[in-house]
Amino acid sequence: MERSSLSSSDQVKEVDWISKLPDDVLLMILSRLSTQEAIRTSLVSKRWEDVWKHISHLVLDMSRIINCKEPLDGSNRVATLMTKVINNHRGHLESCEIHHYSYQSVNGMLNTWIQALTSVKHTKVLTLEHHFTHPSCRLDMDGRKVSGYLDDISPNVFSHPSLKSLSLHSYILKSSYPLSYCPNLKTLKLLCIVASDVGVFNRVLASCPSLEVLVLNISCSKKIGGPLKIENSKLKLLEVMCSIKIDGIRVSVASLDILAIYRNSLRRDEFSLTAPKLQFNRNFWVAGRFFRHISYNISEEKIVHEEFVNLFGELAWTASLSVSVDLMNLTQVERLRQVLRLWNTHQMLELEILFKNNDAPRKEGESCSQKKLWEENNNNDPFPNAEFRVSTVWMHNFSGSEEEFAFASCLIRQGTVLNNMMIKSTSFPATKKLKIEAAVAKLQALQTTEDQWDLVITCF
Amino acid sequence: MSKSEKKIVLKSLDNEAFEVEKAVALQSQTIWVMCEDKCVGNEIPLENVTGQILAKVIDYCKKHAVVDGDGDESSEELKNWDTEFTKNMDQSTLFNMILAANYLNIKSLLNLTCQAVADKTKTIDEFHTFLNIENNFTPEEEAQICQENLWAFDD
Repeated sequence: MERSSLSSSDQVKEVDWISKLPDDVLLMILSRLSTQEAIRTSLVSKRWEDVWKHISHLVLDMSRIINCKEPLDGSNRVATLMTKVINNHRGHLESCEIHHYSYQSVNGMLNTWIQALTSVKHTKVLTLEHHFTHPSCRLDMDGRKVSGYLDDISPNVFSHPSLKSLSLHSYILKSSYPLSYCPNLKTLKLLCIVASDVGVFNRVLASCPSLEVLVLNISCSKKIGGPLKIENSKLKLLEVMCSIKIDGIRVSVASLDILAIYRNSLRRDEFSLTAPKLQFNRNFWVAGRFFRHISYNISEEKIVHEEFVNLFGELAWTASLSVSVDLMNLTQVERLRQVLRLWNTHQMLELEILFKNNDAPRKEGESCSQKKLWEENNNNDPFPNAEFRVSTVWMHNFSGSEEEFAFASCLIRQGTVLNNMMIKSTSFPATKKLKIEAAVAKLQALQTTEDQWDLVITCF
Repeated sequence: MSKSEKKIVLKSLDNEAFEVEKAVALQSQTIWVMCEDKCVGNEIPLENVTGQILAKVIDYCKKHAVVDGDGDESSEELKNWDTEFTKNMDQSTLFNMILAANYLNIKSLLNLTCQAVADKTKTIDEFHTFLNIENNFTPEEEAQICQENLWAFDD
């Protein structure tokens, strides 16, 4: 045989090592491939035949094989193949993403998929995206017009206890019927969703009592029915990206920690916000409408912070930020550092910082190490890092206290703030105002090098 | 802390001993748990890793510990270092690195090495040639698998 003539080192190379890895490690490799690449590994060898069936995430996209101009039977054939993939999958399917055409939402296929994924696979995260059909094929078999209605699915289909997160993309809601009972949903994203009037959305939101994360990019065909009401009592993160033909938004959520607004046509007075944890002075409208504005009350809650990074991690540089933080709390300071680092490659336009005076008892040594964090000789470990730059910083409740002064001077010394540092001193009692102005004078004295002459530190 | 407390000795399967900074070794969750346990002394036996592989693992951990420490090195540089690190690894080393990262529970290293395999195996032919996996299906079996998962093979 040819192989016997090879040297021993060549023989080592000829061994199939990877197939010897345990299934869970092979699955880690497969999770880095696209769904169809992963499924194709079933043809590699008998060892690999069934491994893909245990991957925890599937993306099933019809448009990968056929385009929207394909005749109806072609689309049905591909839909059937996608059902087969779901049925062939074994074990736990944590999340699934389905891209389909209009026919599948009217012929019951979408319904079948959702049922299989929730009731059989107990999928936790479900993403459904409707791709618009080419105008020439807008008629289904019975001659009805088809364009992405979500109303032909059975009620309660999203009510399964295992389903925690639902994203819907590009559908038309004739009524709130498909989403009339979602007691277990913690995350809901309605992206490019159109309804006849705002009442549909109000009823949908009212039927999701467990909601913690809500992302809205919605519009109505008629501007009637009053404002959109967001009053979900457990909501922690809200993003409103778009709201066309909606007569105002009223948010009243005591638990809200994060609010992001982007690309919104609403006027400031059309958006009413009652959120005690988000008492900021800067917002989407004053910061200049072109950018996403995010308000974030940094707290001890890990999940909220993770959601922030999840949702805005890659988009962060397109935003201006209002943040409230307790400088004496190590966890919160560390989270602020992580958040600001998301702007690593892009200069932030505007940053508002509110200082929280947390009276909670501190662990011994915590405040002492905290002081050290802002100390002058800490140039080796800049906050948040050496790259971060912001054009304007706003501080509305700067008191001149030791740690606030140390924090502000650290931003100046490092050259973190490029143009303006705005510190509010008016509207405070005279003694306090004097203390603040004294602290500001000391901050101004820190500007020694020539390259910091562009920075203006102002009381207002 | 005295110098000896900051150092730790890792002993490989073939009895090779490596003295490393504790901060370097503790990137491994497995070693971290062993240290927490306190039932092991300053020397930690790693029964599943050879000296040759352990040396490479330590290289990786040293690089990543330093960077997390002073922040001098940009993440860009670190990424390049990672790419170079796995670029010319032969299949058996890559395989042993994955096993070691899995056993030592070093998430970032496991991610890096699995990604290195995934990058080289986009098509079935690449699987067969790069990984030397022998196709042990008959043509009939192949046809049947294709038929079963046609969505992935149809384009």
